[in-house]
Amino acid sequence: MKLSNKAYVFKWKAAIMLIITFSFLQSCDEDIPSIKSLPILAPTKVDETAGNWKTVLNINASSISLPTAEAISSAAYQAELAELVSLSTNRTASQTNTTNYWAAGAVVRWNEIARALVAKYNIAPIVGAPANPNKPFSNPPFAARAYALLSVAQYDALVTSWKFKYQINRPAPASTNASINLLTPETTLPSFPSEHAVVAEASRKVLEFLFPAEKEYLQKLADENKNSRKWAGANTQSDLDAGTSLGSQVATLVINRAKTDRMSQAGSQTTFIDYFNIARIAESDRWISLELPYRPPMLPLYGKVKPWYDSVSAFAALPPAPPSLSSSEFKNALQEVRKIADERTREQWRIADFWADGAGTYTPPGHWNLIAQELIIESKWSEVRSARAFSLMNRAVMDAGILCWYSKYQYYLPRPSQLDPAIKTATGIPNFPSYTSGHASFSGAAATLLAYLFPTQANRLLNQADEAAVSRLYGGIHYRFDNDRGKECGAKIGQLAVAWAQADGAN
Amino acid sequence: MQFKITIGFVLMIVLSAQGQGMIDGFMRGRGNLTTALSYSTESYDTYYVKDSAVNNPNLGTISTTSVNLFAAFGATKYLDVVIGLPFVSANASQGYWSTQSALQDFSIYLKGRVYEKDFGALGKLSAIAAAGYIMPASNYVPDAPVAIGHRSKNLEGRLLIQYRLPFGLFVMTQGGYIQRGNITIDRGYEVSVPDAWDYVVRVGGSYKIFYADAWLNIQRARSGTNIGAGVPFPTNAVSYQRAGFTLYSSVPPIKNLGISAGMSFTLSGENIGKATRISIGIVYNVPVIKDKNN
Repeated sequence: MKLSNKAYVFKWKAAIMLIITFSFLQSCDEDIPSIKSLPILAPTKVDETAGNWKTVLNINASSISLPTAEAISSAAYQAELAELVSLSTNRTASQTNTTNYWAAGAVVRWNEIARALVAKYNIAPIVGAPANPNKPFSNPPFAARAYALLSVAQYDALVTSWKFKYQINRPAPASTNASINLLTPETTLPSFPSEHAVVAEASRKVLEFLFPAEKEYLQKLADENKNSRKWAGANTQSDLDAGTSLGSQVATLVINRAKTDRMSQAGSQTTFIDYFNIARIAESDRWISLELPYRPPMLPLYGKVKPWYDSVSAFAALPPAPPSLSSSEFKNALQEVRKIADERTREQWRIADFWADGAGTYTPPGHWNLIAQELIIESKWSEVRSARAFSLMNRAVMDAGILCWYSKYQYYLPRPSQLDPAIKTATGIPNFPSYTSGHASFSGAAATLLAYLFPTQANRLLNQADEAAVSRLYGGIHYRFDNDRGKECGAKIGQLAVAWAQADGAN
Repeated sequence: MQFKITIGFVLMIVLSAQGQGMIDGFMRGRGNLTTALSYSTESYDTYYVKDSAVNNPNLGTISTTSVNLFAAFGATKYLDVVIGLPFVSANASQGYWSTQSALQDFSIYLKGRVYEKDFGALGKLSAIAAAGYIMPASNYVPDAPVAIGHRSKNLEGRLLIQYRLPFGLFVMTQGGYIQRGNITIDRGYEVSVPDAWDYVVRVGGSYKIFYADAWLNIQRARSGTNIGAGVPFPTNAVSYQRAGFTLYSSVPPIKNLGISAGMSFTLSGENIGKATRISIGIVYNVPVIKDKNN
């Protein structure tokens, strides 16, 4: 009997231990918010003179027509103010959430939205499938152009709106009517046209041009963005209507440029199909697709797309020819890739993976937009100054991509694994020639420009670009000289952007 | 001696990386230690994107081999401690993705018999509850097309009911919940690894020198994404139905030594490879503590 009592004790101890352990199952919080919470933007400067900054497309404000701004004393405007009093004092919890979301900054939020769309569409189509304009493949060159178009539209529209804001000089609603329950910070920035509506409409229109199937989703977001300003008590309906009109007109100009920048021919395969048929048989020292089945290369004529910065200066930055395959310089470079692939450390793998930004992601240009966004938010810049940073950077990133692609299809340098199949990779092998590295080019350009805009962060940014570049060597998919020449070329384009920034009137 | 009824654990070494194999319906008995070393190989050239079967010529056949160390110790008559530690290597026959080889996940389970009723000649009914903690044993890569695991820290709870018929036959059924913690991937952010429900039904015979069973295992992810852009990801909702069998025999000339073998087949699944697996192992039973009362 004694023994069985003892046995019962153990039995219950076991049960209690199990119960304790089970209770852990309930106590862990695993939720990852799908929307990132960001601080409400309270710009340290309103940038009164931004209306005089240089625009990218040389927007002529006199060619933009806006609805008339009714006088403060007018019955129409007083009715609008009364609407704001009512909306802002009766704000529901969900309206407050939406308002807080957009109050982080329209430029920043639409940049995030663009990154999410790029990631969604960053899926290689099935080999041989006809191009579907509703399902663009948002690969890195496509994405670089998408971010550039979006940022240019935002920037040019905002500069133009600043011009009108200070011409018309309508004070913020809350400074006219004290009963408005303002959710966003007080501001001396004139409210007509609404900078949020300007960004919402310009962004919506450009993104719809790039991702036609997202039309309804984008309209919903734009409406929400504009409504959030009324819930916040920050803009009246006529502020928003004027902003929508201005944003739309500037977006049209940006889209017209996009229609003639030769991107529509960049994916043309006809010139290249013959080359591939020949290359696979005859030219083993030239790049061939390593995919099964063979896939035509990504955007072979992207090198001929129109750059943003002065094209003569840009093309002066073209990388030199790579070393010849028979040179000892080349053999050593290939040997280095092999050695790293054979002895790859976990940390090298991590770096390769961190910067890979491959299929299903916002791409390397998107990664630099995220890096820029964090710095912009920290700096508490006005919407127009934030848009300027993205516009300067994304134009440089796209131009660096153009030169990189030009170089890729000038030299057709094989990927390391094509020449030495024992080179195993820590990332996917991109389906286009090796020289130069796109990652290094994008990163050199972005870091150079950002280092100018954020001098206290310069070292960190340039180190990030170095790491992004060498990540491709760690991944086993690029020679070191691909990265070095790409980064140098990107840095030169970054300097063009710096020169533009020094002369755009924003300093 | 307890060994006659304790050899059911061999199933676990056959399916080391899967929780379903770690917990069986037999208790070790106080003071008894069972150790096993097994080798298994598994391969697939077809995988499910959601529930449609596809091939990827750029990966070819994915093969995984693992060496697994296992031990189960009877702390008391009613409580066992079970641990497992596999070394796993995975590679693709086509394309250029690097092979992944690393110590995978260390798992430890407490397994307690919470109920037992003896029906004499009609058999014996027992209920066992188990709780497990699984943690990565190395910083392996969880988000490559060729990966060896999720690298999440998991908590697992299982409830098991076994009915032992006369002549060594048994029927076992168990249900469990696997809570998988979030992981931070190399890309620099945190992702959620889906939790799952897991069910096992097993029938077999357990004898002094021989053991055999057949089993069905169903795992259902509670949430998660589908394989997108051709790339498996830790957030994928992995579900499957697998079936298999296990054989064990002692090696008579050597006291307490046995060998095991088993196979498993993926019948259907979502976001997982349609893998077939073969395992072999050696098993050694050590009566660490002599307990006359056992």
